[in-house]
Amino acid sequence: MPRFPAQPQLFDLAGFEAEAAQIAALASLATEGPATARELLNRISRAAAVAGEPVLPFKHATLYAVLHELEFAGAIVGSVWEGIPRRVYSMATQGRMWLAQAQERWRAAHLVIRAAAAPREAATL
Amino acid sequence: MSQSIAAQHAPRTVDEYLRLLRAALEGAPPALIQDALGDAEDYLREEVALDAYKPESEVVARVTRAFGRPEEVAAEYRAVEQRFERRQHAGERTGRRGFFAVALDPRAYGGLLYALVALPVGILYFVWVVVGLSLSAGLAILVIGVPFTLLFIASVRVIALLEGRIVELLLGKRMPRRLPSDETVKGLWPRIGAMLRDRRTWSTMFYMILQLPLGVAYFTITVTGLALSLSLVAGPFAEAILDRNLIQFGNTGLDRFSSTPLGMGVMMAVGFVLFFLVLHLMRGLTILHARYAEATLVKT
Repeated sequence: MPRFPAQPQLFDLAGFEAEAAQIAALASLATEGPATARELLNRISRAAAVAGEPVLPFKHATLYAVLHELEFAGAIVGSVWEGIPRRVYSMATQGRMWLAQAQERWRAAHLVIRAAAAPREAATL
Repeated sequence: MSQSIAAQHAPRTVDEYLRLLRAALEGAPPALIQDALGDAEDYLREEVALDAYKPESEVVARVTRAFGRPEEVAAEYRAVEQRFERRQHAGERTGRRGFFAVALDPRAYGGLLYALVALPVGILYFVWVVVGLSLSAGLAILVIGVPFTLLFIASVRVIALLEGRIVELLLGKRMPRRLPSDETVKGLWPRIGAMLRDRRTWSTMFYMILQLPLGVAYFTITVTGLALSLSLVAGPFAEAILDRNLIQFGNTGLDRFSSTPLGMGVMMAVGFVLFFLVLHLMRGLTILHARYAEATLVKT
């Protein structure tokens, strides 16, 4: 039933993008070591293109915003003395923990969605 | 429909992009605006510099697709802010009103801690600015004067960021996550000129100077208030246990009254109320000082 005046937002796109960017950044920092924001973007884009997904599921701006908050929350550590363009972020223990939890959550969600879409093949997934 | 509007307003230059982004962020906390604008400016200017042989409008149009349109970027920053938003809720969670509910308010304790930290940090800031300014003036006639002044101003900016962290942690005000983007002016002298013309450089120094008297006042009020209220409450107990006359007001009538049961009760009640008054004061300080810090330390 359409509602007036506005449709309720079915998907929280901005929130989704933020979470995707957050996990991608953490994963890249964890596996490939410290990087600046720009290097992170390049790494993630390259890896995504190799995997066959040339369009990132988030805006580049989202990654910047997320990096600030991750740093403030203590998940990653940024070097203080460089200006932002040259600022190097590296992983903190807290970040590793969050990354592991988030990856597990997304793996489970992904599996459930695929199984729900193809219940007959669920056993082979 | 929104697509066509966006297409009409597609930014052609970096400055136009930043203006649109600023307009889209209208109403957000100033610190968030500073962060978002700084990120966008750094990103766009770097892209334009990398593609120097192409017209700026073309580069900006291409980059806008990857980085996001101004309104999208604004929405993203707001969304990320909300995801990590715990500070405001921490302050608003206790819906209970009333004089004694302040004891459950984290802002009161944040303010309490800040008032104690403000004194040593304030002394440090004061010394730093006074020494830095006078050395900059004194060395100005020498070759090392200019680099020294530059270093000093850079240090003031970093300190503004660090003080922002303290303010955000203890007072719960959103403060900048990053330094504002570097000015695009080239050359040493124009750069110094831009730094000296930047209102924030001066307001930060003003903040750092004023932090010493403010820190002294905060610290004194807090320590006196806590010591007085707690000792008024604990005094009668201590007297009863040690069986000695510990509380002396320096007034015979008051001293005699304070050793009667009624006097003890009154004393404890006064101390009890005073403790909550101090907490109220700290909560007020939290709100006022956070506003003042935002006004002086954040680029607008």
